Amino acid sequence: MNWFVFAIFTWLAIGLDEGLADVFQPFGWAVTPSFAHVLLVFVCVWAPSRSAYAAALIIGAAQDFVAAVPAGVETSQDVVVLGPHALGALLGASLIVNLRSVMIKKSLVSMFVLTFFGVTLLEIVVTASLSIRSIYPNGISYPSPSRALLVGLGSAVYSSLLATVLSTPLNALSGLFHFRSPGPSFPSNSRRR
Amino acid sequence: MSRSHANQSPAALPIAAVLLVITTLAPTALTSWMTAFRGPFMAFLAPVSHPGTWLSRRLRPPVELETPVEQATREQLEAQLYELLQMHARATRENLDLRAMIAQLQSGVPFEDRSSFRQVLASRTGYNARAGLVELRPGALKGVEIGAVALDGSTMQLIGTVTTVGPTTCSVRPITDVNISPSPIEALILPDEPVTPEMLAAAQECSLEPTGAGTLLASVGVDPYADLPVRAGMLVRLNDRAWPGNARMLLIGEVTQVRRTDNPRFVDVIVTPVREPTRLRDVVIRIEDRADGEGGGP
Repeated sequence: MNWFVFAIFTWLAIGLDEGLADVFQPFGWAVTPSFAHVLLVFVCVWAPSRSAYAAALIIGAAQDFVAAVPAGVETSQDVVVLGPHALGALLGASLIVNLRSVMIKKSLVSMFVLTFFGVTLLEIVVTASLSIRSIYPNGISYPSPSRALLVGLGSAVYSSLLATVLSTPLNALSGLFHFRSPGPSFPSNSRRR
Repeated sequence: MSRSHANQSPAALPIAAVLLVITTLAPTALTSWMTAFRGPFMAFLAPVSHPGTWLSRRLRPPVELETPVEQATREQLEAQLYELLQMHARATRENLDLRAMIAQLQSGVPFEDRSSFRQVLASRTGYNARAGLVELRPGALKGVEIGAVALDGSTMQLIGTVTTVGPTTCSVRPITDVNISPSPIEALILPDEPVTPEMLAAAQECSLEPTGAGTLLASVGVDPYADLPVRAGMLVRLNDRAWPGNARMLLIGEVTQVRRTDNPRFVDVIVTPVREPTRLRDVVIRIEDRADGEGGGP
């Protein structure tokens, strides 16, 4: 896999999440689609498993840096918790890598399903991790995990819709990534020379 | 080079996962140093996210409660009016506070420190809805610090408080975010007109909590046999001592809905910010001037 191209796409995806995602916010809710999650699923569908896991850790860690959380109820400071998104992305990636062998990779329905299940698992891990962390004295402030989980599930659906839209252009650009065949169940295609 | 280097170090992935579990669960005191890297990272993202915000404002223009102004001169006049109303309300509030302080002094209670502030103009470079953070430029190099107050320069509306600061960027948690601290936000409900001491004395107090849908909610006690003291169109201003002194009497929003509840002694008041805090292009950051405060008063 070409990691330089992956880095550029990750930079663009997380930057677009920051700059553009509020266009899609319904009724002021925090439910937004994530370009980074779509990229994560796309890489996990095409890349060898270990590359997919490494890519998931990178995207998740980047999201951890972006999503600072309140340091406590009595302070207005936010802190970075490195891990929840990275671990969630890793588990989501492992789920997608295991499911992709029974999916048609270029199908829009496959992209929707894989994104939904992968991002849902990611959101569950994030919510659980931050909930555990908020239990400590002097931990973080995480007042409503149930609401955060609902928003996360909504975002998973939204990201799945975005994934179906972006699936075709991403597949067209997949040659840039120089993915290798992820397994024997996938015969090499015409991109390989 | 493009080969998967993970194949060369099969232990790297499990080790990374274990380290991430540790950093996820470790107490904040041990991991808070990582926050220092967030500022440079957000600055690295800004070349993509900033044009994105420009595009987002064109794809979906921000909602404003006021009637859209037709002429630039009228907009300027409205901006001046809002600023003067805030200054007037603040001066009136300070006048009342000074009277209270005199009363406190007479009984030996020390004065509250009153420091001045300076303002920095900041532009929005991004917004993370999930984290509830508005990203702004500049940051610490321009003197922005944690706890500073962000407001809309034209309506003098409170936007939120600065929660992380990097060298060239900072993030603001909006008042409409469910994780805003301190919460609830103490406020006064006032008519949409210049404030007088009598109006302040009779103003309805309320405690606002974010609803998670871009609005704030307060449960206000009322007399079930009298007219409602709160109606749509009234303005809500900050009156919370947990916030910096320079934020007092800033506009929080407008009452857009008053709902009866099952309990006839209470009504739910929905407050909507006049300008969407998360979608403004430019905001003003007010920073307390500590040097001036430490210099001592008369």
